[in-house]
Parts: sequence; structure tokens; C-alpha cells
Amino acid sequence: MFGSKKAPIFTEQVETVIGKETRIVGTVSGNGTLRIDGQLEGELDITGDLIVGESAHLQAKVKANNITIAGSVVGNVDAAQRLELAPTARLQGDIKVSALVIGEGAVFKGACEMRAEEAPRGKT
Amino acid sequence: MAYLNRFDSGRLLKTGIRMPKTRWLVRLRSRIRSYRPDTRRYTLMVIPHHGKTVFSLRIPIRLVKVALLLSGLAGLYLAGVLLDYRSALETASRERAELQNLREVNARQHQQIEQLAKSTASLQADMGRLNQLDAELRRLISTDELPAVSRGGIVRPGVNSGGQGGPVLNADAGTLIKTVQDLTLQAKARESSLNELRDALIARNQRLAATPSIPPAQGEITSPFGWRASPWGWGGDWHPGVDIANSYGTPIVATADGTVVFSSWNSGGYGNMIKIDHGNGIETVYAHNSQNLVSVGEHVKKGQVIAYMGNTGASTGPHVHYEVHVNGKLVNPANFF
Repeated sequence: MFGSKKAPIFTEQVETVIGKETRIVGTVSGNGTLRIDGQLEGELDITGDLIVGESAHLQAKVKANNITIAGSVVGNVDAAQRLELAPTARLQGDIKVSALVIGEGAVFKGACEMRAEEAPRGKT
Repeated sequence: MAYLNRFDSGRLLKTGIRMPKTRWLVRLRSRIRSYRPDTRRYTLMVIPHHGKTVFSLRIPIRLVKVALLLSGLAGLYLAGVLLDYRSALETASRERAELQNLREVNARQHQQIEQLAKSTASLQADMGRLNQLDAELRRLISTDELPAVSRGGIVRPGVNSGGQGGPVLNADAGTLIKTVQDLTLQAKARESSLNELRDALIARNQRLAATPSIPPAQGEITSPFGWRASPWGWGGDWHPGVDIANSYGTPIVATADGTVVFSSWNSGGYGNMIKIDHGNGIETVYAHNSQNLVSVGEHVKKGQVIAYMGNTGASTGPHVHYEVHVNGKLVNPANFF
């Protein structure tokens, strides 16, 4: 229980960084934690965590475990556990999360669906 | 072809003769020739697990090398500092041990000083007793026999040690030194005082030795000093000495130390006569001797045999006629027996 509770919150080290000057068109999938600072068009489906940097531009359908967004994302987002929108985030699309954190200044436009029964109690 | 041949022969020459000795040199030279600066680089990225931008740092290998070198140097320096610190610690602990040792030594010496103080105190007491003894001796020797200075020579105990002369109670080294100095001074004063006493005693002894104090011969006093019946039968006469009679040849001794001033026949009735000057105006005369043993100028001691009893001169039997002159006046010799 302890491990499973801790693991989703970014304890793993970032395995992949997609740099600022990188643009990917297509589908990205994997298991490790991923950080994007560049641009992505297409689809992103990983079982690990996802960090979308301030300079990132995503035009994709995103699915990950825990997701932190500081850049701009256009597309539906599906976080298995938690989605956090940093103050610099711009998100346009429907989301499906267990827990949601939205920082002051973040822009979110879309529908929100929450997995009520799976929501971790201690987290907001 | 000619070019190739020349080249070959040159190479053969080189390989044949030079190569075995200078292989390492050639290798080094080729290495130097093929040297390229190391341009490898590393990128150090700090990836936040949140939205903040990635911080990345490009590091050339040379910087890494320099950093390694510097850190190595720093490590060496730190090791040196550590060693220095440890040696300083060791020195400190050694010094602490030495301090402990010194403290013990100090305590021991303090005890010794206390012991010394006690000894000095007893020495002071001894010196006080010596002073008393000195004063007593001076009282015993009549004051007129000592020089006037002698009274000043008496060192009163404790005059130099703060007025009381009590035993030293505190073990302060300074006080101790002062006390010892005082004692030394007192001892010197005592020595001079005792010397004075000794001189006075010697002088007194000399005076005593030079004072007639014994009879000049054994025998019977047949005629005292003063008026008497004349031994010749008619009337009385004034006798200037004492007659001591004994058998012929009885030894006659000097009654005190002195110098013989007369030793020959006296025609005035004294017969063989000896006169001795004892100084201080005292002279003695021994007359009617059968034989004089000393000559004029001779120094005689008290008790020394100077003549033998006889019957020379105006005498009626073997005896010695003994006179004592004090400052030219005749006195009763019996006073000096």
C-alpha cells in the first residue's frame, strides 16, 4: 500500500526528456516518466508520469498516470491519478482525472470527469 | 624509379641502424604529431519534476579535467589540513600531558619550598640562639677588653627580617629568598663578631700570659714583701720582693711571657740576676741564682726555666729573690701568685 501510494507521485527519475527544440509528430508510448519541453502532434500514451514543461506545445490526446502541465496542451487529457495545472498552464480539452489541482492563473477550457471511487483521500 | 629507390634505401638505413634504439622516441613523436585537443563535452541537465524549465549545463571535458585537478588539489590540501590539524591535536594533547607533568612538578617543588621554609625557620631560630650565645660571651668577657665597636657588632635577631624574627610561616619563594639573604647577612655579621671575640680572647690570653701569675719557684717563702727583720741581724729593713727558699739548683721559672732585658751579675748584692720585661710596664726580677739560663733579648714563656736557685750576692742561703715592678714601682709579688 505504501509503495503503491508513493509510486504515482513522481518518485521515479525522469527517463526521457523531449527537448525544447524537438518536434514530434505521431504516437509516443512507454512506461517511464516523460518530460516534454518541445512540441508534439498526435498521441501520447504512457503508464508512467508526464511533465509538460512551460515551453511545451502539445496538440495531442494525452494519457498518463500523474500529469503535470505547465505549458499548453490542446486535446483530451486522461490522468489515471492526478492532474496538476501549474499557473502557467493552458489546457484546452476534456479531462478525466482522479484528482485535480489547478494553480492560480492556469487556463482550462473543457469538460472534467472525475473517477470518484478511485480518488485518493488525502490529496486535493 | 630513382625516387622510389632512394626513398627505400633511406628507410632501410633508418630501420636498420636507428630503429632499435629510438623506437620509443619515434612512437612519442608520432603521438605528439597525432595529438588533437580533447573536445569532448558533457551536458548536465537538472530536470524539474514539475513544470519549471529544464536547466542544462554544457561542460567541456577540459573543464571537467581542470575541475578534477582542482578538486584533487583541494583534496590534497584538505588532507594536509587534516594532517596538520591532527598533528596539532597531538601536540595539544602532548602539551596537555606536559602541563599536567609540570603541574605535578610544581606541586612537588611547592612542597619542597615549604620544607625549605621550615628549615629556614629553624635556621633562623638557630641564628637567634647563636646571637644570644654571642651576647652572653660578650658579657662574660669584660666589656673593657673589647673594642668599643664590639657592641655595635652584635646583630640583634630579626632586625633584617621585618622586625620580629619569627619563623618563616608562608612558603613564598620571594620571602624565602629574602629570609635566606638576611640569614646570610646575619651569619656574616656573626662571623665578624665571633672573629672579634676571638681576637679579644687572644689578646686577653696574651695579656694574661704576660701577667705574672705563678710563683717563680717551688719552696718556702722565707721573707715576705715589705718591712722585715734584717737577715743580717741588725735592725729591720724594707724588703722589695719575696724570697723563696729551696735546695740549691731548684729550677726558677719565668712567671709570665716576656723578653729578657738583664741576665748577668749584679754587683748591688743581687748576685746572678735576671730581669724580664712583660710589657704593659710590668717587669720581674729573679736574683741570687746559681746559674742564668737565658740571655738578654731572649723571649721566654710563662713557666719556662730561666735559672737555677743559688746563693750568689748578698744571700744567706739558697733562695730566689723575686721582685715585681709595675710602671717602675715595686709591688708585692704575692699578689700575683
